[in-house]
Amino acid sequence: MNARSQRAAIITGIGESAFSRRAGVPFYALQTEAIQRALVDAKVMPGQVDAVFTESALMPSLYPVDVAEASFGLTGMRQHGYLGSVGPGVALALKTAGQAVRAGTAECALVYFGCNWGTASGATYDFHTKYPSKFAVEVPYGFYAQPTYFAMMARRYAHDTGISVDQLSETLCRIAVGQRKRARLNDNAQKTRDLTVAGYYADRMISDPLRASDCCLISDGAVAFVVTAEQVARDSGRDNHAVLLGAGYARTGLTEESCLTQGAAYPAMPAARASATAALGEAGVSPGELDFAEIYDCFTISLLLQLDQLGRCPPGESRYLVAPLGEDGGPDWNGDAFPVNTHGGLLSQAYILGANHITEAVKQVRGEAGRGQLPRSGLGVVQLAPSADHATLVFGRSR
Amino acid sequence: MSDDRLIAPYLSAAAEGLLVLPTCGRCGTVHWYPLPLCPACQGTWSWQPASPRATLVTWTVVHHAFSPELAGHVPYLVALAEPDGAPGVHLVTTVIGTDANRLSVGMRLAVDFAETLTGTAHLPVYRVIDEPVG
Repeated sequence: MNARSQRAAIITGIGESAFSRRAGVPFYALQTEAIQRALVDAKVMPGQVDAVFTESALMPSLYPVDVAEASFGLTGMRQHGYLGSVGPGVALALKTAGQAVRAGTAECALVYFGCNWGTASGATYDFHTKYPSKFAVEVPYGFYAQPTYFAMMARRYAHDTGISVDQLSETLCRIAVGQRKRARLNDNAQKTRDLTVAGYYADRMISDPLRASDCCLISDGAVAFVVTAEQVARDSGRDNHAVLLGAGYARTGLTEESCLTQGAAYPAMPAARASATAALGEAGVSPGELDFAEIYDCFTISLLLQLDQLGRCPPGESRYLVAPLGEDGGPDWNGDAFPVNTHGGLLSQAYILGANHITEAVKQVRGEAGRGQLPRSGLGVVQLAPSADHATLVFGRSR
Repeated sequence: MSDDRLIAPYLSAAAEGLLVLPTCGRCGTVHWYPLPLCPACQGTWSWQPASPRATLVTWTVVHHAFSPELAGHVPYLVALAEPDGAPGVHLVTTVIGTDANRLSVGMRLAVDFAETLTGTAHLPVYRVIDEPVG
C-alpha cells in the first residue's frame, strides 16, 4: 500500500447560508456566513486553512480568494486555485482539494461557492448573448433561455428512447412532484408550496414539453466545505464523517457555445458516463452499491440524461429508476428504489448550481439530513452538469 | 469565442440566400459552430456550400418569452436541423409552412431563407418536404 492510498480526504466541515429567491443582503454576507459555518462545523481555526479552492466563472468577481483570505485571516494559505465553471467547477474544486489532502500538500483545505442569480436574475441568460455565434444565429429565432434548450433535448430524448412525449412527461411529472415533497422536508428549501400531479399538468407551458415545474428555481445562496486529512478530522470530535471516496471530471469535447445543441451524441451525455466511471472507479464502488444520488436538475429532463450515464441502468432506461409516488405524494423509496435528489434539488430546494447537492450528500452520509434523512445513506453520489463538462463525486462514511 | 469575425461569413452568405458551413479542406468534416481549426483533424477549413436538404432533429414551441423582444411573438417554434452530409451539425432554425403538431423527429426538410422572428436577420429556415426518410 502506498502513502497516497493511506491518506483520505474527509469532508470535516460543511456550511450553508439560507437559500432564498432574494436574500435581501449582499452576496458577500451569504458567502461569509457559509464559510463561518463550515469552519465551526469542522472545529478548525482560520489559521489552520492551508489551501483554498473555488470556482472560476462566478467567484473571481463575487467573492475572490483574497477577500476570503483577508477577511478570515487565512495566514497559513500555501496554495489556491479557481477551477472550472459553475456546478462541475465546484466539484472540480473539491476534487482538487481532495487530491491535495491525499497527496499531503494540504492538511486543511477550504472550498466555497455561491451565486446571486436570485437577485441578479438576468445573469442566467447572459450565456446566450456572450458568444457572437449564439447571438448571431440563435437569438434571432427566439432560441433564448435555458428552457428552450432543454425542451428540445426532452423531445429528442423521448424519440431516442422509443416513448411518446406524453409518456416522457409522466416521468418528468413524477420527478417534479416527488422533489417538491422532499423540499417540504427540508428546512433550507425555497419552494415548499405543495405540488400535485394535477397541479403539474395545470402549470403553464414554458417551452413545450417543459412546464413551469420542470424548470429550476433561481436563488441567492452560498455553501462552503472544509476538506481535511484524518488527524484534523479526528480533532473535530465528530465520528460520523463523510469521506470523498472518488471524484471524476470529464469534458464533452464541445465548446460552451455548442455544448447544448451540437454533436453526434445529442442529447445524450457521454461526459457524464466518463466522469461517473472515473469517480466510481477511484472509490472502488459499483453503481449498484450506491444508496442514493443527488443529480443536477436544472430541468427535470437533465436528471434523466445524467442518471442514464451512472451505470445503474442501460442508457435510455433511467425513467425506470424514478420512484413511483407514494400515498403521501412523495417518492416511494421502499424496496429496491433508488433515492434521488433527497433535498428537493434545483427544482424545489434552491438553485445553488448543484453546490447544494454536495452539501446534501454529506448530510445524508453523516445521518444529519433532518426530516429528509434516508434510512440507508452510507454511500452516495453527486452528478453535476450540464455544460461543456461533467463531474461526479462519491461520498461514503469514515471507518 | 468572443470574436464575431468567425461567424461573419455565414451571415453574409445567408443574407444572399446561401447556406455555407465550415468544411475541412483535408478531411471534409463539417463542424459547427466555427472554430479556428477543424476539430476532427486540425486541418484548415473554409466556408463551403452545404446541402439544402436536412433532417429535423428536434423542436419546441416556446410559450413563455424570456426577453421583452420576444414577448409579442409567443407561441413560436424553434427547431434543430441537421443538414445532409454534416452529421452532428445542428442548425438552430425554425420550420415554416407546417403546424407544429404535424412535425415528427426525422422529417425531411429543405432550406429557405427568411427574416427571422425578431426581424433582425435574414437566416435559414426550413420547410417540410415530401421525401422518404433516409
